[in-house]
Amino acid sequence: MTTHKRLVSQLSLIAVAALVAACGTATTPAPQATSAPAATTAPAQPSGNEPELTMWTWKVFHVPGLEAVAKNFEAKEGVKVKITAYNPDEVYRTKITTSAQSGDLPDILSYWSGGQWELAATDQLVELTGVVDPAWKANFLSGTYEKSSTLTQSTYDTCQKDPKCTYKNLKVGQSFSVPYLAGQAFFVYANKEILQKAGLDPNKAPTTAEEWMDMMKTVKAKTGTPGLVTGEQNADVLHYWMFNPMMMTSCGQEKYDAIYNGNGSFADPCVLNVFKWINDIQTNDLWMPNILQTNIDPADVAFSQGKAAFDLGGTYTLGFLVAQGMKTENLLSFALPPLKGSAYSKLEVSAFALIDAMVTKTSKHQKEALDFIKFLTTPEQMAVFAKTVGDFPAVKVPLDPDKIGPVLVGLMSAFSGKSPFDTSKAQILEEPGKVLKLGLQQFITKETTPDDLVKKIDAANKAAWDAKGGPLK
Amino acid sequence: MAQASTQAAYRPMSGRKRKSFRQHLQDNAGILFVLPAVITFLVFGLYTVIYSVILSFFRWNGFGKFSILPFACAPPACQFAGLDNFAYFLYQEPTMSGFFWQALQHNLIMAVFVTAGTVLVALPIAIALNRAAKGQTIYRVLIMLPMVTAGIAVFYVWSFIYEPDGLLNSVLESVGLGFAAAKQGWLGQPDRALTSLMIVMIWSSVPMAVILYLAGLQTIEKDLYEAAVIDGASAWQQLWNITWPLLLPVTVVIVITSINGVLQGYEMVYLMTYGGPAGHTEVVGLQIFKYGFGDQRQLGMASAMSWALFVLVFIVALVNLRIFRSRTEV
Amino acid sequence: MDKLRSRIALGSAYIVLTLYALLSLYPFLWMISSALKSNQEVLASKSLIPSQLHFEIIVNTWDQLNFFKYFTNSVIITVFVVIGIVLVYSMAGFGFARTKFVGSNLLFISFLGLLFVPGVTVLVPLVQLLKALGLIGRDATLPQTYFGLIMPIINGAGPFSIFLFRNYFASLPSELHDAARVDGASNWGVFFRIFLPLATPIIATVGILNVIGTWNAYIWPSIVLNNPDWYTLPLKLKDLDLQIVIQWNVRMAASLIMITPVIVVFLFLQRYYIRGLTAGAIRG
Repeated sequence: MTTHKRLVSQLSLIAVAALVAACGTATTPAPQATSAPAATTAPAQPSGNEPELTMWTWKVFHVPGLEAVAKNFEAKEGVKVKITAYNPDEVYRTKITTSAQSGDLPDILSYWSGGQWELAATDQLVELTGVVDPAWKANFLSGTYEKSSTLTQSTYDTCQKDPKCTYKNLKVGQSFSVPYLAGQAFFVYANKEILQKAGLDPNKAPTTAEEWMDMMKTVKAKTGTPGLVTGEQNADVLHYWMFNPMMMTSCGQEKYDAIYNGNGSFADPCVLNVFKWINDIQTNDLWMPNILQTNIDPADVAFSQGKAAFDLGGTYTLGFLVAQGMKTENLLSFALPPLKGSAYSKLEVSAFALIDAMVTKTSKHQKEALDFIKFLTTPEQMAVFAKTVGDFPAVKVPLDPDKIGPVLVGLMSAFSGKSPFDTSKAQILEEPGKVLKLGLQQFITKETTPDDLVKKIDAANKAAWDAKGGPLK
Repeated sequence: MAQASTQAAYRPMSGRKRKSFRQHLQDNAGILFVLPAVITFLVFGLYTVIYSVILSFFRWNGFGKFSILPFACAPPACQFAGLDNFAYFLYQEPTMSGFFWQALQHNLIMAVFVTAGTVLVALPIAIALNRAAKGQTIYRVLIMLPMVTAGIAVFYVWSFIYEPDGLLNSVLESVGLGFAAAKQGWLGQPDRALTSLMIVMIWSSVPMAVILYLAGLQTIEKDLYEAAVIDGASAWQQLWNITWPLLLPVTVVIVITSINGVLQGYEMVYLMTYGGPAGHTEVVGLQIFKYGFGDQRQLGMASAMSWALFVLVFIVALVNLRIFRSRTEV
Repeated sequence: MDKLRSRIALGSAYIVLTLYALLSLYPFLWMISSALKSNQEVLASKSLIPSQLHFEIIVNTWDQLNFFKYFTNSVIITVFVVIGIVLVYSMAGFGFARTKFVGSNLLFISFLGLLFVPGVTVLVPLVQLLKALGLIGRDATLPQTYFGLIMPIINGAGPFSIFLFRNYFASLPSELHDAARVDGASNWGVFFRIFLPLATPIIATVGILNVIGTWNAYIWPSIVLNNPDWYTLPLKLKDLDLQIVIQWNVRMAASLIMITPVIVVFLFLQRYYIRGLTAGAIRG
């Protein structure tokens, strides 16, 4: 009985304390609470309070870069921009979905480039068609704005054909966002020290995939260090970072498109050879142990600790490796080398838009928000962003180490104006995509073989295109 | 509630004497205890449940308008799908349904082994804890720690233990069991990943089971054991004839929550393996999460899968309750 | 002989407990040691003992967190959640276990069924509902927003809590109830004066479970709370990941700071597990 009384009295003490605390905090943040509605009514009284904008992102480490730009914007225009991050990706998507339902989207959203159509189709975004004038457009790297921020004919055609497509109401040429982050996968980094130890020339990058495989074998034989690491726990990595670029160089763009679009077979030697090569990494025991449970960041960490000789990544990888304490002098980087006898002897790499910024319809300050994304995508401000976070802007920034940091300069100059992926019209459907991703992982668990996988993908691809009314012409 | 009143309406037909309204009120006064819970649910739960059931018959990306009061489904973001969502993952789409059934199979394996493991580990610990007079507090606190330290920290520690050059392999090698070490890591090998994951699940669900068992042990009267000792019952007989049957209601709670946790939970799998290697630890809960809020954005599909899973879990739970109840009543 | 036997039994009990306690303790020790290491050492070393003690990590993290502000927010939410859950569902559990009313079984099974309602897919309708009630969004005040945050958590904890309370009350000897009835006590009297006082172990259990769950909740609060001043600790914690490279030592230090209050609550509640029911109380 006494126990109970004591528990009750102690609980009620806590309750009282909490109530007191509640009242306390209810009064202390009152200035903020009242300032919010004041801000929303600001446009009615133009001489009143300055509006405060909010921008969301899911990349937490971009926040300092965006904040630096926001600070410059405030100094220039007198408008504050608050940057808020929600991560990981799934939480960010959840937050956007629920906020769209409650009408609480922020003034400015960051979203995956090319993913904004769904938001636009449901009338959440301010249309930018025509607003992005030639002068603004000229800021962007080629292959970014015009490819994924403007609705292209081929995206439109595919959508019209697909019964599940959710943005059929959009028209070709419409635009709702501008890119601010770009990049590209397909980069291989090598640890020069390990190459040297294995008796290899640390400054000579392989020109073919076969050569590269031989280098990995030599390293393994001489030093015992595994050859290759990459973030394979994420099933997209092997598919998009390794298989697709190798298939592109091996088959050429026309064949690449035809095969994915249902007009060819994955059994074609140009694809089968790629599968065989990837499978050989496993048969030669060149993957870092535990590779299937290694995600992107841990893979780069392992590489920076010398646990593998090569790391497959992208433009974004370099900044990460340097932040881990690797010296740029100790790094050799090269674009993913093609197989011998490929259609292209070298993979041309161009920038792809990765993140777009957009203004929401629920924003009470659409003009200011638009001003901010315009300000953000100027070369000067993007240089500030790039230098602060070490990530790759979608805007032509001056190639000056003082302005964007030494790491990015080297990478940006590795880009060529165009890549076969710029003009590719291949559509990777959900079902065959899944079969492919699983199959590539099953090479490592030895649950499938290249010949076996080819049959499965062909069947899945045919079925998927048949369900859409036949292959894409 | 609706059923309650229909049942009441049938009463007079059973031939019993009609009771006065007042008498009815008095007989059913117990419902007042339940009323706050019912009201909370009616206000904050009912709409969401109905909504998610109806959503499972639609295709929706979460951005456009979909609501049920008033009903709204604006194409093309939202489309009526009939039973398509169910058909897709149950049989129609080979890869998707392949994944679903494989995931469900993992779920069932986990439901059996994690549940049994939790009970088998937690019960002896709770009994030992109940018995240990000295140092009980400190042991209790230590054993409960995994509940508090759960989340990302635990994920990282266990991943580190399971790594190819991690603690587990090192320990095995140092005691001469190097042949049993997992060269690809305990979570990296298809044949061990699921087992390794289940061990972490048991580890993290044991503390709560211990708490529940401890609370249950408090309700058993000491006299029963004293009487048993006088009758010459061995410790084993005491356990089997007194402790176990009297703890059955607690065991039911543990079994049901464990099954439910295993079938619906996805956080641990999400954090530790993301369903890998090559789908060998994929579970339905994780697929629902990926469909709902991954890059697929198919909330209708996620709902359909959830409700298919719901039906399954509910049946399993009812069967369990039946089994345990009939045993306790015998 | 018997003495020897019971000594062996007791000894083996202690061995089991010690081994398991170590297994439980290890990740916690690892957290502490990681919070004191450099980030490189966290990733590279297996030892629990840091080669060099970096106390500044915890200090800096503490400063960055603005701990008390967000601690207060978290405490308010957690306290209201737990009190709400214990009050509403101990009553319901008693109602189901110890009173009779028409449809009680069906209602209980329905609640039990709710236990299995999938959580992920109800997020969107829940937000629509809160919007309709004016409990979410930029026009909602702090009390409204917190109310909108708290009530679904309470509702979500319902099925399991009812289940626990009902089972516990059902397992208490029925003489308790009968004796009180004979004395002429009403159901309310029986509940508040006899059953609730005996329920401290289960109250403590339900309490600690929901303290932990609410304290660590991330997804739901991040959906409901838009004003950073109203954030809870886990939301604030995420703001520490500002660098491209994950700072494991900072993360661990922050986690450590965050779970310490829960451990304190646990230390405070745990003694109620043993004090609940004794043979004496039953004979009353």
